[in-house]
Amino acid sequence: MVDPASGSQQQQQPPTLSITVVPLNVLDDPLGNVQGLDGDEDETGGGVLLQPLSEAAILEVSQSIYDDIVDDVILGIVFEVHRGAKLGLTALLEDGVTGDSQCDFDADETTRSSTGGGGETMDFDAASEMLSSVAVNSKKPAECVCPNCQRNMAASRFAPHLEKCMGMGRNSSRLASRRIATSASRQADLVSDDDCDDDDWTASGAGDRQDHRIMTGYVFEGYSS
Amino acid sequence: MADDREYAIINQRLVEKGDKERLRAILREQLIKSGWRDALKLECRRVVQEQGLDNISVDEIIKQVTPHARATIPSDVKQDLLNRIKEIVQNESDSF
Repeated sequence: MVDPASGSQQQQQPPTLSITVVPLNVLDDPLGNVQGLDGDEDETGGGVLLQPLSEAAILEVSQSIYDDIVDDVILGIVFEVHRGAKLGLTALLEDGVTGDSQCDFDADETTRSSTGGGGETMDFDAASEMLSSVAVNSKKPAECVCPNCQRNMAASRFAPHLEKCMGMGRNSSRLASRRIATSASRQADLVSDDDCDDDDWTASGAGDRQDHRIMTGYVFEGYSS
Repeated sequence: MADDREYAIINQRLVEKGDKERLRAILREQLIKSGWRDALKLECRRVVQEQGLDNISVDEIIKQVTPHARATIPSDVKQDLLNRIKEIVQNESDSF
């Protein structure tokens, strides 16, 4: 989008060459080539300097810049809707998402264009939209799908379920530790059938426990001296 | 076409000076106020539902929605933005 001329030039270059950032001043080089190919007017400018545009040319350039900007805005909205649809947010809370994001945009714009002039109406719009979306949401019960176990549940049960399901929080840490403990003991049962103490587990069940402690003490002393 | 070259230069200047971003913010604000944005969102959702969630892509939505979206921009908003752009382009052109 920056300049198609240099883009095509880069494509023509063999891949072994490193890509260099072209500053704006060099822009007249590919343009000069285009100009030479076109073979029309203004050698007097000699590069960057161009003639002032005609009225029609200004109109045309303005129109294409306008199209650019409009397409950009459309793209932004499409992205938002697409993302919402793919993540299932749209189905969850029909307008709540858009209300929130619009509120963000409004905040951005009112701060960025600090000219005032309609800032208050924007805030009012955003606020009323948010209120209406909240009202809509409270009327119908929303259903959530757990991303971890794909179970369907009411929105009010979603957070507690997620906490347990993902293994976070106080209760679920107990659950998770119990799960880990049971799996560990099962493994220990498979490996050795005498007592499953931690020391013995690493010592591969060979020899007496007392001997083992003495031995390790001796080894540590040897290392320290 | 001679206009491409001027367009490339002016466009780059507008991007560098932040004019384009500012214009975009103005347009977005005006389009939200006019309800165009919400209408377009509904249109996008309709397209998504029509095509099915699994085989929809951003490109596809844009292809289906853009003509209608461009045509439904309120004419006063369009005229206002075009005037602003024209002014800036005129200034840039004078500084050549």
